[in-house]
Amino acid sequence: MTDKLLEIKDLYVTYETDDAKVYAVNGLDLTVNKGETLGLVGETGAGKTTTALSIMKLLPDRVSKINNGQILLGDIDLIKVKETDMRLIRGERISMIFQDPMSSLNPTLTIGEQIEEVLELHEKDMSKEQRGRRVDEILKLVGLPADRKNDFPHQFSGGMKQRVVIAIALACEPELLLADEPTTALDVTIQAQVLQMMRELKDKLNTAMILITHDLGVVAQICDKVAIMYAGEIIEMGTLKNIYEGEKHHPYTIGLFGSIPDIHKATKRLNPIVGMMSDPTNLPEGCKFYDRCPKCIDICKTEKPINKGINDTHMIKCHLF
Amino acid sequence: MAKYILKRLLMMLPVILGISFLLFSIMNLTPGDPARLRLGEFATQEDVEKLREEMGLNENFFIRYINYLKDAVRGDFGNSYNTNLPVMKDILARFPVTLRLSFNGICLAVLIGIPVGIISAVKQYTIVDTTSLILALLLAAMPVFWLGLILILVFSLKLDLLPSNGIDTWIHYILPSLTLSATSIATLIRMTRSTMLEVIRQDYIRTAKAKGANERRIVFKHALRNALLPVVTVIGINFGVLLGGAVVVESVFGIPGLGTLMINAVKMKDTPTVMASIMFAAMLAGVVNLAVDILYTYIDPRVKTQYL
Amino acid sequence: MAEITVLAKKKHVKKRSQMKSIWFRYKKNKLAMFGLILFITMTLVAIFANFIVDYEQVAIKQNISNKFQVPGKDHIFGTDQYGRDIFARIIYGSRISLFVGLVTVAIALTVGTIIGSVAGYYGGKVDNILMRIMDVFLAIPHMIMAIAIVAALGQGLFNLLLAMSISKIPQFARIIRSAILSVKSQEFIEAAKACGTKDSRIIRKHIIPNAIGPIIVQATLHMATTILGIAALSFIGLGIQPPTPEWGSMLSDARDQMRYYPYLVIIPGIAIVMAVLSLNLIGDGLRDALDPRLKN
Repeated sequence: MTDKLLEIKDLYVTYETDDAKVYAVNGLDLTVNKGETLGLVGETGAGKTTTALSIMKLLPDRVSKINNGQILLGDIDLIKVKETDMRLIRGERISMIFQDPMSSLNPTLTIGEQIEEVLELHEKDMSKEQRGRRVDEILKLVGLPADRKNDFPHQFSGGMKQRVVIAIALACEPELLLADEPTTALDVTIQAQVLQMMRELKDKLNTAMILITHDLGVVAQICDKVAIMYAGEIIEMGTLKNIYEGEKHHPYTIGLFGSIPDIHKATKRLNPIVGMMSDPTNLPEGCKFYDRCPKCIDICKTEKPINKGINDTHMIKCHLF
Repeated sequence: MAKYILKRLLMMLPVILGISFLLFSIMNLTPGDPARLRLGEFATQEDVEKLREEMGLNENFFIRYINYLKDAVRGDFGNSYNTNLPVMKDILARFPVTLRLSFNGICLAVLIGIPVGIISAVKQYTIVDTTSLILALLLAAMPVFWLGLILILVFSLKLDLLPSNGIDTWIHYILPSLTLSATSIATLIRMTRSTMLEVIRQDYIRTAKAKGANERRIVFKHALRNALLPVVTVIGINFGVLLGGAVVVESVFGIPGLGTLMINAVKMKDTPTVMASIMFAAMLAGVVNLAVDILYTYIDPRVKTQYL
Repeated sequence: MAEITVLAKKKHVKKRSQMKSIWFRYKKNKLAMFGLILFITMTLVAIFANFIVDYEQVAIKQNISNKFQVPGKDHIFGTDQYGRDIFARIIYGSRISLFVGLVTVAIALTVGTIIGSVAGYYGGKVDNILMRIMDVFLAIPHMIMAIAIVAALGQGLFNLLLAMSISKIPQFARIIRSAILSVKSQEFIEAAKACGTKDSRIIRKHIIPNAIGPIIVQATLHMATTILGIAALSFIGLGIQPPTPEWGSMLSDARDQMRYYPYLVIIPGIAIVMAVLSLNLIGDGLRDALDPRLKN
């Protein structure tokens, strides 16, 4: 009996428009175990959202293409699943919440109706009454008063809207929750509350989660494992301890941590990572971090690095190891 | 809600007053002496002067305006310079005809235009989409009276299927209503299509998909409700244009409505009739606009919660 | 100092390439190009009408013996009930339609811009009063408004121009006012003000360039509706008077002859459709070219 819930193998995703072909995901490998929270970290443009959308098969129709790889949910390869079957999985086995709560809810339906919809879609044998009760339960679970279920989204604040979004996502108790920067659009204080709530729910329902973020602070609060993503691939992955306290790291990871200002030290300048991520329409041959890496060696320019296991749980994709 | 309606009606009042003043001023610019017109070339100057006194034409502009208003409020819009009969009589006889015609027009436009627009948006880039867009382009470029003539040519003269004149039976209303609705159909197809396309790209549609909803549910339960909101507003605004078209359509099909009354009155320089018919047309447009706005407050939850 | 000149040069280059990229996007739109070519052709025909056919002889002079010739060798579009060549009348008719359309929009745009920009820029009471007045005008459907003005002033070309422009002024005033308001509220205007820029300079350098796009689009589309309006007014007998050839009045003449000579009705209508369609396509094409995000 394996603990594995989701396994992504060698995923390649491209976007193609009239003007250019964007290589968004390039050979991604990822595993999430049951009940585990994985933080997927990277800067804008790394391909994190694309990965999540690929799992949900919600990539924009005409312009995107999954070129290679497998996304295994248990035994099922989601890439090969038909759309009609995928709809049964969405909302029920895998849920996703998105970044901007302000626009994620339908302005013309009450929040009660929007939560109830998930139940209508997946719990076919529930009566209307039962659904109503369950909606009340869920609202309570996310800390919203049940008597507001006939109100419309515009009557709620940003933080409350995000709770509704989370309520919708967890209504059917999915096995996996994909959360794409769920707190980025919120005030810092609300952020803390929402994260706290998510942590509690996750524990209660034993839901696995992939938390996409660029905020290392958020990762530290809630994640069990961390995967660092750069230019469409995972360049380092390990437990929270491995990444935050371990000694060996990918140069990019060092750069990321180094760029966070330390509240205890007095500094005059910030330490950004020099340069910009490579143009996704025109990726370099060797290591994609080559041109920004302070520790690069000749081989980095020409040969792609492969996964090097540092220990059981810690992996780094770099020529230095 | 009642308060809102009342407020809007009150707001209409200054506009109506404004219209009456505007029209009165414009009509006042008309060259020619109405009394002279009535009595004819051969009448003596004395007689003309007498009639002018009777008609109150020698008074100051503003006094004449106030008098006009005073009478109008009581339902007296003066007598036609032509027939010397009360204008109101003609208006009351013809107004319902125009009302019926425009109402038919707008209903047809909604029943045809909106569904075609929806289908066009959902099946974007297919041949259905291209066809409806071309249809909309052509309908929008056609003069409404030309379309009427062509329809008469085909259905009346050549095929002898439908009547081309008068309003005796409901069948008589078919061609004119269809003609009238054409431009609005074009507008609604394009408008509905564009709002649907915009709505489909919104984040909450993505949320609905992530829930596992199928296409039908997304289109009807989520997209449509949101897309129709701006479309409803457009229908209200478009009604004014439709009414302008009604005037011409009545002329084409020989329909005894407000439009033909207006046109004849203009040609005969029958000022009271012209003023009254224009005012009624404007008021009709205003009332329809108001009705649509009120409807809107019911269907948009963001506005509804403010007023209800 | 050198830095500033470099920046100034950059801005110049940017403006030119902005125009170029708009044109480039416009060119890609096949329908829009079709509309443009069609419109240019029609305009050229209208301007050089004299060289194609003679006015008096062919379009005006009646020649009863020649009447009701079906389209054929001598007369491409046939003749009407007075023996006048339809082709010639269509060509000269295009002069009227395009001319009145252009002048109407020019007048309405100018007056409307003045009213709209004053209202939009200064806001407050001025805005309120002006807009209330505009609302009164707008409450009357604009065809009917045109009829009212023709009723007062009488028929004829000049009055028609006046009637159509006046009926369009409020719409342009509204459009310009909202274009100005939307630009005014953007942050770069505040920034300019914070730098101490004078009002008139702000209007000239910041507001107008940004508002001008939508205004041109609207102007084109309004020209199309004006042409339809002129035709309609002439059709009901309140516009251009005979014997001047105008597409709408040609249709009115054709009406009684429709049964036996349908070409009299079909041809002028097609002319109107072509003129209006080309302008609509240009307007739409401009709109898409100016803001490509809206398209997809």
